[in-house]
Amino acid sequence: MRPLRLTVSAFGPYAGTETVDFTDALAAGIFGIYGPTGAGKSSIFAAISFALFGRLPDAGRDAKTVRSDHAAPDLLTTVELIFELGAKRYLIKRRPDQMRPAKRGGGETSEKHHAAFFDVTGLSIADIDAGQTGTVIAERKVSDVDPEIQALLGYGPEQFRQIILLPQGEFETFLKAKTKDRMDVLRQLFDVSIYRRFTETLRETAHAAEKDIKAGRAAVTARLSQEGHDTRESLTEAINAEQASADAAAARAKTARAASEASLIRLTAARATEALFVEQDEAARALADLTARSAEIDVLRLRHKELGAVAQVVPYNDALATARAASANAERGLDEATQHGAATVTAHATAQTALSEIDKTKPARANWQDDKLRLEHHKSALASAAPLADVMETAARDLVHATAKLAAATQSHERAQAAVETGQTALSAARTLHETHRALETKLRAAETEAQTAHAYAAAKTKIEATAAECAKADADLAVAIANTAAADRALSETEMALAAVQAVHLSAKLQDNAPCPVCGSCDHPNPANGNPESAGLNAAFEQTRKARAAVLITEKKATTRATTAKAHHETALSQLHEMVTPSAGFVDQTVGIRAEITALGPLPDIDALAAQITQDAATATALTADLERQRLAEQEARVAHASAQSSYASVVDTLPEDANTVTKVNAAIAAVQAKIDRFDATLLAAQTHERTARDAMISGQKSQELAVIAFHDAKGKTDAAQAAFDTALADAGLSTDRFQTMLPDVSARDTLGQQITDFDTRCAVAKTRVDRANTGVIGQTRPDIAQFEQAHSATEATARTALSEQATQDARLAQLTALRASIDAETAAFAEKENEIAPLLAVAQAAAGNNRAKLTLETYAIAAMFDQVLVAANLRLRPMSGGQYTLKRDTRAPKGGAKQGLDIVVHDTHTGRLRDVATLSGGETFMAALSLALGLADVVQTVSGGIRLDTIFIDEGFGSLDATTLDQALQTLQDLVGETRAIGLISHVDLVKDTIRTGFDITKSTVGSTIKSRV
Amino acid sequence: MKILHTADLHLGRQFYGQSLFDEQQHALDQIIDAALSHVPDVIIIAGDVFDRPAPPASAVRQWSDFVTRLHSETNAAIVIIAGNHDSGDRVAANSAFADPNRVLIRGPLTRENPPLIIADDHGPVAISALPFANEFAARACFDDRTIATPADVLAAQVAAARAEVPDGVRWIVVAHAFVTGADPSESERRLIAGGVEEVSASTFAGAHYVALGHLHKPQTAGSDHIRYSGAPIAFGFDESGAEKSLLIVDMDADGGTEITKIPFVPLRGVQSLSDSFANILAAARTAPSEDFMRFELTDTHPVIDPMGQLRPYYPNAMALTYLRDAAPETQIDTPTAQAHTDPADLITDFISALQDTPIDAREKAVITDTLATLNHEATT
Repeated sequence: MRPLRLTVSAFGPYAGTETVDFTDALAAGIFGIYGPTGAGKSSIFAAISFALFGRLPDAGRDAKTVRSDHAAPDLLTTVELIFELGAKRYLIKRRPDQMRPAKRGGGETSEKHHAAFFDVTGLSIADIDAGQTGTVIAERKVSDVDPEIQALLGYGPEQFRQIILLPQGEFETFLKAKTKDRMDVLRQLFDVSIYRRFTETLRETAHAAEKDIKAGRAAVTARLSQEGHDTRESLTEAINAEQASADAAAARAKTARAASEASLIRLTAARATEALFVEQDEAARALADLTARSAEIDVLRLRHKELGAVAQVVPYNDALATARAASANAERGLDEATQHGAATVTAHATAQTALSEIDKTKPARANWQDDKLRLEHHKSALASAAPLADVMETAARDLVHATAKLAAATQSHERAQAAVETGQTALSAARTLHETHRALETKLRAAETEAQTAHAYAAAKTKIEATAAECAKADADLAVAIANTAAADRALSETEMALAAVQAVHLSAKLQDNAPCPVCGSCDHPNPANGNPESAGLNAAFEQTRKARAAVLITEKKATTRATTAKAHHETALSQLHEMVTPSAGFVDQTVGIRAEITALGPLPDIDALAAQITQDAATATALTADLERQRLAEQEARVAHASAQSSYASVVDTLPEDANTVTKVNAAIAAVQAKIDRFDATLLAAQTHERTARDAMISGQKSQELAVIAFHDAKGKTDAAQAAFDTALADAGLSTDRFQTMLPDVSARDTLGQQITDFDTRCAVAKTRVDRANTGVIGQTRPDIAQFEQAHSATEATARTALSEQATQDARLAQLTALRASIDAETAAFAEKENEIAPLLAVAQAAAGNNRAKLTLETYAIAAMFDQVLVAANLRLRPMSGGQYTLKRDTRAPKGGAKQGLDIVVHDTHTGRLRDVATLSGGETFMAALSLALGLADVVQTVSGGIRLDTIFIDEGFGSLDATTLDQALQTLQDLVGETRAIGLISHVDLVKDTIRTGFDITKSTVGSTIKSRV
Repeated sequence: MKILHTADLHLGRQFYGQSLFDEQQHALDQIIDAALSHVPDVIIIAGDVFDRPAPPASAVRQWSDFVTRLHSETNAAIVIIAGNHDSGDRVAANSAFADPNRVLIRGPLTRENPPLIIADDHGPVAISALPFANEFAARACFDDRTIATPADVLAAQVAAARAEVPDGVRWIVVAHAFVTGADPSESERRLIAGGVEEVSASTFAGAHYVALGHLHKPQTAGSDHIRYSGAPIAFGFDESGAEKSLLIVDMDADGGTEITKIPFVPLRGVQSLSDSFANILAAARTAPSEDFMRFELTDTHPVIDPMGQLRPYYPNAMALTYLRDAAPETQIDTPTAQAHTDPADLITDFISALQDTPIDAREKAVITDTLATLNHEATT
């Protein structure tokens, strides 16, 4: 990840918007960020970290704290970073949680953490601005943007602050980390997921296999114990025992079955013999039955014969019946035909009469025709008069229009004249108003002047009274003060005298004869003072009164001054009054009244405007008068035209009759006549048709009648013939008609009867044959005792059944046990096989999971292998930097306790030949080691995980802990590192660094925030 | 005309953490002695007076004393330039008080660079002093954005200096640069971070003698009249055994030069020993020394506390390495990591290392099969 351009607004110490263009710096390969303490050097790196991950490199610091205190409230804190990752270029913008002024209403609202991430590959840096932001990858929701970035970069903020950005004071975090922490960092950078998956897969497989085997073995044991056996051996014993009893049961069953079979044979033979005897008895019985019935059968035989004769006569009987029926039909037909003929004749006569009636009214029709012709004639006359009607209508319309226009013009004219009059009235009124207003104005001005004079005079008088009062008060205060002063004087002189008296006593006590008095110098002391020389407090009292007097004196002076001042004020006021003009007596303020009057007048109308308006209205009125005349003339003309049109039309129409003088009427009349004619024609036609139909019906009726007569005679002849044939047949059969009728119903049963007789005869024959045979069968046989045989057999059979079932049970049991043993054996063998198979799997799985000599998991080992490479790369830098003294090594000593081992670092000191803990290195040495480690890690990570690019490394301070030579060496190493592949950014306040690494940025600090500038 | 040419004092420098104050004082005294005995007309110090832009106070005092002695005890003209280790402003501080006809001190880069003109029996000699400047300062000074390398900088400086040299006058140029064809040591610092630092000898065309500083080994660069005087003392173990010297240059009327090397006697030697520890210890016992020592042990197994054992005999033992650690010097910025390890190999190594019994074929088969399954899962 190479930063290309960073823009920060209101971030940390940067109050405004600062842009850092890394292009030149990256081209130089190694660059520095310099500035005084607190200028904002580390903030640059913090900004990069924040832009990428939304977090600051200092883990304890909250992202909310990045808002600049110096920033204007409406400038939002934003960070924008354009960076390069391989061939692609990206832009990320971020705004942290912050408060900003609300757009509506007062106060503040909070702005949520917002991030936007764009792909700007192909755009040059100069082109990227607020408008042009490339392709959006994710926007707004921080939870969308952050995973995108971390996926692209291949590392998260934790790795960032341990190996890419070495933050101030924390660069040794990665160097001194415990195995677990270091593992977390490395696991993310080196993709060792395959080893983890490997271990997992093996573990699962091994676990599953073991579980299977265990379950299987348990199942086997369960089955054994279900049978009541603990071991396979006891099962085998049981099997053997069962085998023996099975064999015995089989033998028994065999014997029993043999016996049963023998008894069955004997029984079957006896049954056969018995059957023969039974047969003989039955045959004889059957024959006897049949013989008993033969008499009855003979009767039936006779009946059968008679029925045969009846059957012969039946057809003749049927023929006769048919002929009789036909005859009856023919008679009926004849009656009907006769009736029908009579009806048709009557109908025909009626129709003829109707037709002749209608013919009689024919002449009326001819009259109607004439009427119609006449009406037609009228109609044509009307048509010729139509145009005249049109002209008349037009003239009427014109007349209406002209009348209307005339009325309108009249109205307008009157209105205009009225307006002129109104205007003139208004004008004179306005003039009057103006006059009044002027008069009032003048009056008002005079009143105002007078009022002013009166006010001033009153004010002056008031002032005089005030000052007089002041004077009086000041004088009173002064008198009091003077009195106080006098009192104080008295008090002072009292205390003075008291003090002097005591002093005098003191002095007198000291007086000696012939020694001079200290006061007056005389050696004579005629009357020395005496008394109590107690002077306690007197001096103090004296002093007090003196002070009191002084204070009172001051008060008196102040009072004097005040009195003087008051008097002066009073004098001034008096003089002022004398200079003023006295107002007139009885003065009254009239200004208010006059103003009210003026207001009451209202607004002044504009006279000029009114006059102008009047002139205008007069002109309008004149114009309208002319228009009115024109309209009158027009109306007159229209009236005349209308009258002439009317008369020409009337001359035509008057010649027509009343009922045909309009088109409508004449048409209606014609239609009515025509309707009458049509009705007549229709009725005539109907009557003619009706007559024709009736005539046809009559003719056909006659014909039918004739046919019916012939049919009738025919049928009669046929009936007679049939009767003759029937009589003949009866005589041949030898039957009387009565006998015939009686037997007739039974004819149908004849066949059944015949069949019955035949059956009986057959059965008799069969029975006879049976008897003969049965008798033959029993010759030489004796009848056996069946019951005895049956008893014997059932006994043997029972025995045999019991024996067989016992055998079956025994066999089943044996089979079951044998099968059980076989399956158990098979399963046990299978488990053993399986166990053998998975032994290597288990071994590898356990080893991979950390169950080994060194308590190392496979994953750790893999990471450790890569870490070894890292250390090799790190040592390439550390050795020259430390003058060959130090190398970093991985701690492979025996693990203590159960702690996970494998990635701890120790330092090998060549000078002592021993290994040392990393914590024992000095500050400067730790910095070198951490730097070497970071660089080595960057090398290896980029080779192994090609997608992760660590092409820029940032180092925040740390150089101050190195001495001059080491610092030189460190800078040399860093400069040698620079190539096309990697860039290094430094923050330092050390001068040597600043002079050695000249490319970079200077940060200037001021009271209103910091600014950043590129060093050229 | 006689010229005394030296350079690269590096006052204030440390040698593996040990101050070189005494050694440098010893060398400075020898320079004074050489000046007093050979009586040169001009003494040239071609840059890298101090080791850092902000040197320790002891170094500053040391220099001040030295310059005072030069000025008061000799009558020679003095020409001093700042080198890439110096701060130009510090070197030229107080130069305003010097006699402009005798002393020429160039610290910061200036646009115009008038030479110091000294006359001898044959005529005047112009001496142009070109202080070392980085490309940024040169860009700003000459107002030319295209200056990017020390070669560009020096070309601009030489052009500016040449413009002020009178025609037909013998010309000496004093510069601090890395001229192509010369041999560096381990102790010089690069003149530019990334980029070409060498300068072609043809840049100095027209000069009769070029007194160079920067490389610590005394040598010529491109031709006989372009020379490095070398540093007075050894600054690294690679210089052990090398002879240090200053140059006395006799210039004749035509500008031809005759060179005499005056060797420096070092206070302490610099030794680099490569042998087994036992041998070294034995030698130490027989011949202890105060020289700066570096040891390269040929032992295959690490020795316990080797420095502690040797320090009684070599109190100035500075560095110790093992021969077996001296891997072939790979470029420091190309990755040394192995390309992707085959997972199967790694797992096999793991099992073999951490099991009591060696790995057998079936275990190998398990490994191969499981990896195949994982690969298959990953690709489907």
